[in-house]
Amino acid sequence: MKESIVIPIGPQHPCFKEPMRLDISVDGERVVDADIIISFNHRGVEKATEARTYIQNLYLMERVCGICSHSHATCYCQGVEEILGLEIPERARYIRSFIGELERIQSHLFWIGIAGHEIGWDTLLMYTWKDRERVNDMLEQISGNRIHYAMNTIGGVRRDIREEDRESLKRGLEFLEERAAYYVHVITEEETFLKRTRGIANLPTELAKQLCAVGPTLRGSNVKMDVRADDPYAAYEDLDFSVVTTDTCDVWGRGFVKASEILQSIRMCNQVLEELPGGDIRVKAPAKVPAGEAVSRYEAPRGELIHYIKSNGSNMPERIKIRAPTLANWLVMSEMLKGVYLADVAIVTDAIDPCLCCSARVTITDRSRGERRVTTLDALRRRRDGRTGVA
Amino acid sequence: MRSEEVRGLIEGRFPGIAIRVPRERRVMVHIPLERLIEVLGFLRDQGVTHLSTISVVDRIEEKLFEVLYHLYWENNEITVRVEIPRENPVIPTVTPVLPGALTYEREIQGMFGVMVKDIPDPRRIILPDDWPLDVYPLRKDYMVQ
Repeated sequence: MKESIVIPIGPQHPCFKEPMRLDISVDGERVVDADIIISFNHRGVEKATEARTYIQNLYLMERVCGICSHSHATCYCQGVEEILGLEIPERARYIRSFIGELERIQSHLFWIGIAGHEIGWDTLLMYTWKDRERVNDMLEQISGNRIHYAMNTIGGVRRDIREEDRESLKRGLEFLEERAAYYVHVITEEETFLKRTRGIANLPTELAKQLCAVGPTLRGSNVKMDVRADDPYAAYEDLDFSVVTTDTCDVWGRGFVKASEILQSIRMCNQVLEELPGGDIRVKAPAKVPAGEAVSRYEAPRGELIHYIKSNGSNMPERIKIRAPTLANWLVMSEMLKGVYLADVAIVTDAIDPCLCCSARVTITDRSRGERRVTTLDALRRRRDGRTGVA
Repeated sequence: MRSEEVRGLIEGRFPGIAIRVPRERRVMVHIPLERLIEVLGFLRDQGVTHLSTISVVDRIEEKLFEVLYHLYWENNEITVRVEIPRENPVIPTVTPVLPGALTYEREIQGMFGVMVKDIPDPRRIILPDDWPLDVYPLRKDYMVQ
């Protein structure tokens, strides 16, 4: 039996944007096994929700993840609304979908850029991230914010899509459509991309299903599963789109699905602007939520997001369980890494579009004095203020 | 598939089972722990492969943990619920039936101290290396100070 060598990559490594460790066993240049360790970033969000009111939790949910802040907030609101038996206005449903799709566009553009970077093609990164600015500008135009849009509230949305913004939003979508079509072309035709992604990190359909992969990773392995189509929420029942899949089951397929989804998102956004129903954007929700439970699902840019919410009749939840899409994709990732070249580890890891702040959630511990104690946010603030001399 | 059909299918195989459909596309099944593998095995044989996650609720006053398996199949979220005593929280691993459960079993073992018997990989997944082994942060009696 040949001996294999274990190469630790991370927790801090240029090829990861967030802390994680890969213990890669290699035989020569080939990866024979991979162990993934993600326990560097737990923030205790689930625990924190139990000590906050439903409205406070809304803002906490937005901060589970930066890149898909709208996903978590919408998923949470839907669940609470279900327990309350609250019907939100049609217009609010459409606005939720609109923001959700813009968020998907910026997230997928973000990914294409990172993928380009991981294969040493930084031109692609510069192109996509420049175009991504346009999406962020559109989001800012509607919500006032580029990343944490804070659009949701329990019972609807907080901000409207104004009539006077419609034209410039349409122009923005037109611009993005042209760019997205170009990126689909690049991904399908450009040798630089094809050479590094075709046939790399094979994930057969059956294995992807067995190991419960989600999102573009699953659809890139030819499984037609998308919460927007299968379990429609917001306005997706009324919007026209197709679920993109490929049967190549490789890194390229995962990229192709993401790029093509941008075009579908633009199609939906245009439809929302055309068919946006009139009326209110929110209904009033009570502060206390009756005892009950709800399972809320959402198709985040990275895949199926699920919140399980249990209420106890008070103004604070009994339990909120969050399962972000990246957590569901770790199992398939260690499978996908087996057999690839060491040089491909970065792009293969990136192909699931890992987002660790979603995956690992936490409690802050302070061990500066060599003793274990849990510190509070207030204590941290006091320390900061003491240092900077702020009263 | 309509949720009522899913309910009919499960009731047909397990007569008298506690099952309800709170709304279309949601099915809630409540079973005793001994039948967990049997019920999940039956669902798997019908074609269920996707386990979205496993949730745990600490019902400290009733001295029990509620463990919920959120499955997805044919447009339905099927939640299978079991209750286990808080003083001896042990569940069997469901990985022989649903291999994708491993991540979530590792997660609940670390966060709640719900021990998973015969789990293929018992290492914690979410908590940092230096977290004490017998402190489970998502239990209700763990206080954030």
